[in-house]
Amino acid sequence: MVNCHSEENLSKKQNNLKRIILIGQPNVGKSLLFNKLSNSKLIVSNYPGTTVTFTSTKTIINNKKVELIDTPGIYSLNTITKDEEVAKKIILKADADVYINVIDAKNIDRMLHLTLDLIKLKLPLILVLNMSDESKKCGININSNKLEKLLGIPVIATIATNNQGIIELEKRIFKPNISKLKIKTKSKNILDVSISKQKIIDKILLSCVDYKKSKKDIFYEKISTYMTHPVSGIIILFFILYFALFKFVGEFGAGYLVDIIETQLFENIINPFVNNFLLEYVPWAVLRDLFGNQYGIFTFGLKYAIAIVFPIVTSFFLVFSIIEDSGYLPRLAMLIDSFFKKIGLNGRAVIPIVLGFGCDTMATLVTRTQETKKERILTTLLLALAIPCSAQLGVIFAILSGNVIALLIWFLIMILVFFLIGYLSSKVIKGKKPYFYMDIPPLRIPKISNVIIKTIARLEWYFKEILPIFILASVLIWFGKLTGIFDLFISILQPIVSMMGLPAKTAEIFLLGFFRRDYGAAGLYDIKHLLTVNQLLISSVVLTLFVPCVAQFIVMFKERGLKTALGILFFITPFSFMVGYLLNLVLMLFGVVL
Amino acid sequence: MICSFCNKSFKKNQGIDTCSSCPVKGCGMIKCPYCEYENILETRFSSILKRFIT
Repeated sequence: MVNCHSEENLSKKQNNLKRIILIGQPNVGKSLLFNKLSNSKLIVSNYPGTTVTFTSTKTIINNKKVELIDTPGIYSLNTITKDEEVAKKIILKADADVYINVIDAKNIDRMLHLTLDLIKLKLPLILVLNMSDESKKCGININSNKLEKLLGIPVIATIATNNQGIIELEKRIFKPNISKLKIKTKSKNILDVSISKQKIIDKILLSCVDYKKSKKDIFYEKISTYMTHPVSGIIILFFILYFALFKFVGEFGAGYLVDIIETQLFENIINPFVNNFLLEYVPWAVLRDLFGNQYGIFTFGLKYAIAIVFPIVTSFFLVFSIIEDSGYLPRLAMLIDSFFKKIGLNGRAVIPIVLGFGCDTMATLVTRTQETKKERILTTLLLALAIPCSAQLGVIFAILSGNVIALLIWFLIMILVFFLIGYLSSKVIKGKKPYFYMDIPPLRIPKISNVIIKTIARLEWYFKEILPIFILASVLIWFGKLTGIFDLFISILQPIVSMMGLPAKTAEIFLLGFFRRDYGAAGLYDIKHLLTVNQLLISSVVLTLFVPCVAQFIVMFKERGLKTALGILFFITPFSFMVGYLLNLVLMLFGVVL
Repeated sequence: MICSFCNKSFKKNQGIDTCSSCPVKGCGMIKCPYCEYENILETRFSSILKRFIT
């Protein structure tokens, strides 16, 4: 009989029953092993962490009545999820006779961290190396006898799917051992504890595991090392930026695809049709302006969303999904950890920064997970200042792709602003120095189906979000035009843009950019033929640095408080115009015509 | 689901909800409880498509 309980229902151990508990990370085959030992009809799912509640059964092993308990998946005793909390409570409260730690043999180096945690608790333990066939296929040959001696607990290799090792496990199941292995750490700091444990694991594995790596594994390992090396890692990063973002998103997505949809579809077919239709059937000019003409819902809002933003974000999401699925992002975090430390951040800031290239608003929300207040404020500032969102980035690549020097200048200004402002801010904002630690998952070849599905899901969510905003913005501009408010804002911005050597028309794109970053970017794309390369460069720099959009500002206010949000806003606005003004001045002084 | 960043497994209901504090609601993201990376949630359309592709 199989029962499902909540952890509070963990019954008192009965005297005539031996209590056995299975512990392990998700997807190591605990549930299958539970099934094999109990012969019960528990459903074995390959989906991670089957349920928060635990499963137990009463069965007979070696003629002894036992109570077998299957715990939810747990990565470490520093619990994070509810599943892990339940598993930890069971481990600590169950007072079991035998604790079986099940691990995936092919990932033994990462799995032994939990084993050492359990050893430290002085529990009567058995280690099960499950999926040992897969580990052999991967060229990982584990000498379980040697491992047993080194750990001081019984070690049994199993292949639960075809019953191998189950009989041996049943034979030795009532002979667990409390290991005498000493695990000393310098401090209770998570980083120090992890480093100490890793040193012990490395020492143990060196003497009892023989790695016969395939050519593929060696190749992946080399690539992984190159990706995190300060020199080769930067070269690889530039290689990815050039081909994935500049060539694919910039030239192909924002250049070729946008040209087809915007020019061929909207400029030649949809917009003329809408305008002619309105002219013929709608006698009121005010209504005609709402739906058509320069800022109409169809001819402006939909055109920006479908003809400009859609192809750019599609190509960006496609590239992003490939990068994400390859396992490159954690390596990028390791690579830039040392650079980020100089500005008071660490590799963990990669997560919000990378997400910022998708949407800065969502990325600002992620900053709450950073360890120190200093990091949170710094990352929020840098996201608002120097990280363009996907559509902005695509448009900038597209409009500057014709002139590599202009693109390089834009890139260098962004890098300079990012590190200079980051460095100076880290000196002003006081706080603790952060540290960064994470397990690096293996590199993998992205599955095409997974990439397509992720891209489509992202696009679907993105359009659900932006279409109403683009339409709303069209209506607001229409209303602003009707009441003169729009022109008033434009007239305020016009002297500023002329100081930067930009035509009056560019004032509109900065105003649009405050609605949404991608809206401003689409606006810049729309008027690119009116600007010189110098003006395109200055506009791109100012638009990237310019104030965050409304949504991002609201998140900044909610996450960091009004004082910080306003502080960032009042710093960024004049700063972006000042950089634009200085850039124009430098270009003019040196007579640079790009 | 498996986090695209740290490769750890977690259930959808364990993911950290950030929608309640975000003005751009319904972006379809779920945060990994281990590394806090935002993973994309499948939509109805993408899960139908998944059945055809995989």
